[in-house]
Amino acid sequence: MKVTITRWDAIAHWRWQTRANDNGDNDDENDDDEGDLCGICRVPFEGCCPTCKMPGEDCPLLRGQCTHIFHLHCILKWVHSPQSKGQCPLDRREWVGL
Amino acid sequence: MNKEPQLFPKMNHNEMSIEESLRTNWQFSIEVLNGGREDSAGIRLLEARAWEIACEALKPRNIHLPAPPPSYDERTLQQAFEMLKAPHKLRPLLQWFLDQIRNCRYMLQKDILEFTRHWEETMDVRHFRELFNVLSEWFSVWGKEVLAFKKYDLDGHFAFQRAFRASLLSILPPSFSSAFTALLKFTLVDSESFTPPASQSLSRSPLLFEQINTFGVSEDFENIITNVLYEEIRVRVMDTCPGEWEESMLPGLREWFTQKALPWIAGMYASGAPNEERLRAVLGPVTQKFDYHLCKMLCDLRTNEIFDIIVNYPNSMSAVLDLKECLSRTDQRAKFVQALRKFNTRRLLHHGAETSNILEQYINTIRCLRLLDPAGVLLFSVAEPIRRYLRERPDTIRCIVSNLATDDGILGLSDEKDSGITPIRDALESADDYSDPNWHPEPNDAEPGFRTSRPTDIISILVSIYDSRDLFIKELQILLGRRLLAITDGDYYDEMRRLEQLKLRFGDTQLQVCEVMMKDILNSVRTREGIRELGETPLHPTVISHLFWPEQAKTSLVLPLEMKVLQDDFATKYSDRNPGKYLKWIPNLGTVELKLELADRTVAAKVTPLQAAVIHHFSNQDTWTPQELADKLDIAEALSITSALQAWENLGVLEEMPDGSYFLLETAREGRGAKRYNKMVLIAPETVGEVEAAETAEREQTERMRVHWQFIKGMLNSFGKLTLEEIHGKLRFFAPDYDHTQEHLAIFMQSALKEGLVEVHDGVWRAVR
Repeated sequence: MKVTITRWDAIAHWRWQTRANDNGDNDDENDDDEGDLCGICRVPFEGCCPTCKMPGEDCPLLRGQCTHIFHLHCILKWVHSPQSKGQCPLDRREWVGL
Repeated sequence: MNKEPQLFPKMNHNEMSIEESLRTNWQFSIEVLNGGREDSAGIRLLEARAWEIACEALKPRNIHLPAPPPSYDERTLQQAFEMLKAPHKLRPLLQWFLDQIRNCRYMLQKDILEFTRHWEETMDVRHFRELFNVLSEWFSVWGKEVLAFKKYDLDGHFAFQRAFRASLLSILPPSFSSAFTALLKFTLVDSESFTPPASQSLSRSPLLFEQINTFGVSEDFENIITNVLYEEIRVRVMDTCPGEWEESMLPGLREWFTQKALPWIAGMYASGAPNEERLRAVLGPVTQKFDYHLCKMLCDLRTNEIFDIIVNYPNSMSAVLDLKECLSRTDQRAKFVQALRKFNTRRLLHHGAETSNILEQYINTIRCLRLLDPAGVLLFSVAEPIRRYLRERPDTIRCIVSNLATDDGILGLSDEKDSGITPIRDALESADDYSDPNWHPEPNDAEPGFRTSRPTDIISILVSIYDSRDLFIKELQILLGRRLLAITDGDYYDEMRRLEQLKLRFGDTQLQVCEVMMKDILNSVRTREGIRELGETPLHPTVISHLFWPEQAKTSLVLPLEMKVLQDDFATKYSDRNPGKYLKWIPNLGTVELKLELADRTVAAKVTPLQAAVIHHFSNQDTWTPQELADKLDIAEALSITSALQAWENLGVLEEMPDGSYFLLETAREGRGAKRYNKMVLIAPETVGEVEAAETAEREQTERMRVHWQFIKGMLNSFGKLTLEEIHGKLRFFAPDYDHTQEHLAIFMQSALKEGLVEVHDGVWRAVR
């Protein structure tokens, strides 16, 4: 017997590649990992920052040299505020976006 | 005793002087009577004679006996009256005559008894009618004599009438009133046919009421007369109106009243009215009274029918308008509310009724009662129990939402179409706008919780059943998700339009999530087209932002290599197009269209991914046991494997072996599936999706309940034992954001029971330590 798929309406969801070794495979175990939240707004990366309405490309992520990742809008707003002294909010190292 | 004898001698001693004084007094009196004239004794005698003559002439006679020849001629009689006039004897004469009338009532009695008995035996009202003619004759014969007094400025007519009335009333037998009622009813119903047959003396008789009026007893019979009319109105309403909701009955009834009943009562109340105008003036109050009764009867009837009237709305609109007028005439609103609430409890708010039916009836009730009472007091009183009941039902929101999201649900044919879609108003916002020039105070029969509500559309009312709108948004999201994923032909126009409408209602921010879902769908279409350009693939994925979609029931499923290759290929291309993003597949969702090329036939089928994966494995190996497949596909539930295998068996592709394994039929078995060559067969995966979605909603509720677990645990620990009601009540009181129904709590507690966290005994829950 030969089975041919003529059409397949599948459903998938997208995620950000947040880890260096993240290749989309076998990561089921960290689905709801705490690490998937933006450290500033505490919204998952795949959600959007408080100022945005649309997730995804409209509200991208930004990774710093310190390897911390935030919503782009969140970290820029933080870095531009005077009390931040241009530091990463998690480890107080100087924030340099990659 | 000793003193007694002494008195007599004293008397004897004074005997002469007493006789003397009597004589003197007598003489004096006679002189006074004579007025100082002479020949007094002769005059006395003449007067006595005149009195006798007058009495003889006046004496009431029995009309059934032949009239005796007049005992004295006119002139003698007149002289007698003249004679009696001077010494003021006419008044005593009249008095004597009236006494005679009273004494002679036995003559009447005989007739009355006879007619009444005849009626009792035959029930013939026509014959009974004769009684009034006879009475009339009595009256006129006896009353004729009174005229004689008129010449001497003595009007004895009223006195006579009074005497006659008193005599008449004193001798009426008990059954007279029922006979009279029957007669009146007959004259009312049959007013034409009653105009008496020309033959009898009836024809020259005046109308019945005129006769009664003549006797002066109309007021005594008023009760009977009005009762007859009341009863007739009731009968009329009950005969013509029940179940007739499609046309207005009130004008017809009033027409009947004016045409038939009014002339009838005109005889009673206004027989003496000189002209039309006067007649109307006299009848005005009476007519009002009966019109009130008419309205009340119709009102009672419609109130009893109101539940079915609402069911049939808007076909029954005329009945509602009738009722509106009747309610405004009569003060039956409280009764109406009570009745409708009773009907609703008995016929609507029970477990046998479907939620959609209850909603439909509620919506009709809203429309109906708005027409009936624009101020909304009635609606407020009636709606509250319905709303409370709907709140308790677990599937109310789902039902409302699924109707919201379709074009032709119970909300579809709504009147909102004309007024356009309006945003949902918050039921709690303060209603009193003091700058409103059209402001009215609350109606005086409003309940304490009543607020004058501005006209709101029905959907707002439905949504306001629940305090929070979030539940609706949640349910809308689930529904939209299900629908969007079910669309495979790329035609999202309808859903987009509907979403726009919903946004108008609920507001953009509330439906932001749905907006994201819609955007995901549109992006997916673009992505698919972009990737298709790189190389043809049967895969049509929908890429969703999973945080914005309802929780998808996720089960692990390891797809066969052929299918996995397709996915991986697509995922790689996707990541190339969208740097920084990668795809995670939800393997158990979606639909797969397959073509199976077997030795003797080709089978096409639209199946679930699981079913596709199962059949795929048969292409390499033609016999599998369910357990082997479950291991291969990494599926824990053997049941879903079995059902997938059975689906293929039904298509005649597989066959179950006696040992429970399944075998691929390269060549079709006779009579089984053989006829299905080249046929597209649907194994309705939609229904599978449906069940899953429903389960998802349930599961989500339980998940949401989980945040309250600590509360429940603490409660059970400190109180020891609690019933479900107590837990529910305390949570409602103490727990923030607790908006679940008791049913949800029950489901949750059951799941906690399964996990061994609590135990239940006779409906009392207790924590397991």
